[in-house]
Amino acid sequence: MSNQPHSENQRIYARIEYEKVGRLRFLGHLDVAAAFDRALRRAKLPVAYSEGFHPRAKLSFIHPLPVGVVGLHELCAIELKEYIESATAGQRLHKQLPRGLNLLSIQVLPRQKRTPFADLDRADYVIDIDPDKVGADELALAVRDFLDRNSINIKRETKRRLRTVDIRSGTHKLAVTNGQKLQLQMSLSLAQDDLVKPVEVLQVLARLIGRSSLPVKLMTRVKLYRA
Amino acid sequence: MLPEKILAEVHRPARYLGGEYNTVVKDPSQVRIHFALCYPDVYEVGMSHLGSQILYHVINSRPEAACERVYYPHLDAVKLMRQHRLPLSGLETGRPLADFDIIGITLQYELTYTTVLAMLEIGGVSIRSAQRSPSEPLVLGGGACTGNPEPLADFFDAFLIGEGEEAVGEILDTYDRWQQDHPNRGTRSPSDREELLHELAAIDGIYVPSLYEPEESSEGLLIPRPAAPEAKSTIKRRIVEDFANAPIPTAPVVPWTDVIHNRGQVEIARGCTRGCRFCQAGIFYRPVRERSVETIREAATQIIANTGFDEISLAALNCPDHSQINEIIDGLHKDLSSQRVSIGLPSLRIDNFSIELAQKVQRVRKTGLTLAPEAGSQRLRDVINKGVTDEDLRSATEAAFEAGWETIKLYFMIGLPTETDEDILDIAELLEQVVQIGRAKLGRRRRHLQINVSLATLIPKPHTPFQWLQMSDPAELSRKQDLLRQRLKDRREIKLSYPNSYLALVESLLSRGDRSLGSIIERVYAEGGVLEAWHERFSYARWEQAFAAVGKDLATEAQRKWNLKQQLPWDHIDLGVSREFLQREYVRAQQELTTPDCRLAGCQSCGLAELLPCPAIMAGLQSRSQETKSEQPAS
Repeated sequence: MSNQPHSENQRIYARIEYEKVGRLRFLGHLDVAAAFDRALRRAKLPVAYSEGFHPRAKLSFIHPLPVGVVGLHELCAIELKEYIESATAGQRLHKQLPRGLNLLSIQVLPRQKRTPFADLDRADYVIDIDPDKVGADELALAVRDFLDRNSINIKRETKRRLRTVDIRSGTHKLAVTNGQKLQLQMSLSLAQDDLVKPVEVLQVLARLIGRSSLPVKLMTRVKLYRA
Repeated sequence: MLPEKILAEVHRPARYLGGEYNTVVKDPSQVRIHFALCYPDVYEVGMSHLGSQILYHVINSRPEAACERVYYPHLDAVKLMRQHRLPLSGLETGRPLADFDIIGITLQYELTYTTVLAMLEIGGVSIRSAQRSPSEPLVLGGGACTGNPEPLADFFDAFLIGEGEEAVGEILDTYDRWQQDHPNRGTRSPSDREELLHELAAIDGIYVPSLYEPEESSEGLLIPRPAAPEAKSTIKRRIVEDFANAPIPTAPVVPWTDVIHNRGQVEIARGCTRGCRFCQAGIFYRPVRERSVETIREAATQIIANTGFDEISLAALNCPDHSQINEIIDGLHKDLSSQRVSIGLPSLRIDNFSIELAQKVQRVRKTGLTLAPEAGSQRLRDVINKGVTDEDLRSATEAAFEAGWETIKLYFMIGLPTETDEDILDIAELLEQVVQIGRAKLGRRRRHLQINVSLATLIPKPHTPFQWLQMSDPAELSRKQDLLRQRLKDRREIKLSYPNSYLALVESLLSRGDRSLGSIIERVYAEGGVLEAWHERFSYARWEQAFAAVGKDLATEAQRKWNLKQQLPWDHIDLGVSREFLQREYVRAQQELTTPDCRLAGCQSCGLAELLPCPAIMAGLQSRSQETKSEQPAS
């Protein structure tokens, strides 16, 4: 790292907020990363690359979005090798991103010590449920049942290991709304020791109703934030 | 392009999304000809094919036409499409295959033939051209397999033999004129369709198989004979004479997901005159034509600017043969390395010059190194006219290990004419030497040494000097594979891989087959044969049964003996290389005599120079005399 143009604790990052919507929600995480990599090269932004035989653009995505899930405020950090005005970077990148991966904001942050959003610990989701296949009332009952419990243990597979984890404490909000659409709203923890995935909550709710799964029409991650 | 309800259910839906960067989507009401450009394999393979990118670009640059890409979906998607009664459709607008005016299918590999039928069927198009109604699309074939189109003659309305850049425009013009006379698709009559076929047959390089009647030869092969006034006695291959200025797709579609060649490609030269006797591409793409350094640099810069790829790969049958290859690589490096774009070279000939090039291109990103000695002994390399020596391989690998490579890939072939067990053991001997060189050169890093050996099977291809060879017996091939494997089993540095010999047998049957194969291919498809280019999807038993069903024995057919005088099912396809030249080369192979590259040693009378001012002779000799390459002619 000796030939880096700036010292270890003085990095320049572009903090990017974007949405992943429409048909592009079906891109996998690696596909999104590749789409960004190419858009950045087309935009001719001064991206920093890793050293070694296979240099890669220094892109980081926090909490990759699963295939098929809409993201309304997704985040990505790009390390830059030189400073560029946020507005200029935004204009250039905006033109190059494919429609569906839409740029919401870009902030170039000089003199950073670490990735700009390392401290995010919560995500909000909205999940559209097919009202023809499950009733709003039984869903509401399941949600109440879920919230009334002090702990909810589920099995989670991590790196060849099956662990039992409690997802109740990391479920900060869980509610049903039945306006024009039948929707579940949830706020889930992203903290490493308290992580909850939306599919896990859905599985538990399905079990409480007595089904193998819930008829999900669309899953949306509304935002990632520091609670 | 699949609807969201299907996308939500399939594995890796990105392949069916459409709307990739640089996709061309035209307003359907503003175009007169809807062209479906089909590749009979999955997205990952089809999106890697440079020829399709060129045609996509050429067709879409015409205002009256819109070209859409169509690939074969993976089996999970096909299953869902059948359940939901969704036909195969174009990735650009989702237009069902049956609603296109022209369906153009690329034929690059014989084991995709069953997938061709599958595409038509799930696209709602009649499989056999004779059963296609006048309102159905025109089904056209093209690509290297059209050197012998006969096995597919029943399924295609027409084939384009040779290079498509110019011919496709003539096809569109002809179709456009015809369509204006018959604007209403629903009311077209069989004679209207015949009129179109007759007009297409008048285009150079177009073969309309229905205008020919097969006649059985004394050897029991079906030979097509002209059966209509419009049928040409021979169909001459299309050659783009001004290749240097031919269109380059500088804004290729950028795949959403990882594909086999996930990079930009610039074709720096077309054709190869090295004259390896097994090589069909060496005949099919003659003569050698080059693009200038300026054209290539300009194209590469544009491709990167338009796509954002992190690699640009040079495409040619043999890149180091380009008379200005050093200037190309240096220029590209200068233009692109600051953007961290690396340069890729396909497999290389074995000489130090190639290693130097390979070393040069990996300045940005380290890439693999592949060399193709093809045979283990000098004698056998002379038989196939592969003009490299043991010494070439030794010094090339020495240079490679010195340059820092720890892994190299070597291609060999078995089933070559006059081959004995000794030749097979010579492969082991040669590999042993490479291992010794590697160990010595790598020193402390010797434990990283790896030699990946790919042992292919010779498949005698139409229009090559080996077209008259008897195909090897698969049991014999397997025995030879075992022999080599046994000999190398204690060499942990060597990783040996080889294909299924029975798959090679079917490939050879399809490549030299006649029209009678049509019903067999159809039967294999009906029994579930599809995506057979993926070896795990291939079933030898299915092919055996399909042959048996028409009263034939696959093994007997495959082991057919051929003779230099007999009529061939592809005699009417004229690639420009004369039969006399191929016969001469066949005989020289048996005599273990080599034939030099015409660019180095002057015209070898392959027949092409009679057709066109052969650029290899004119430009090649000139530039070579100024070069200081160490290479000697093979003779």
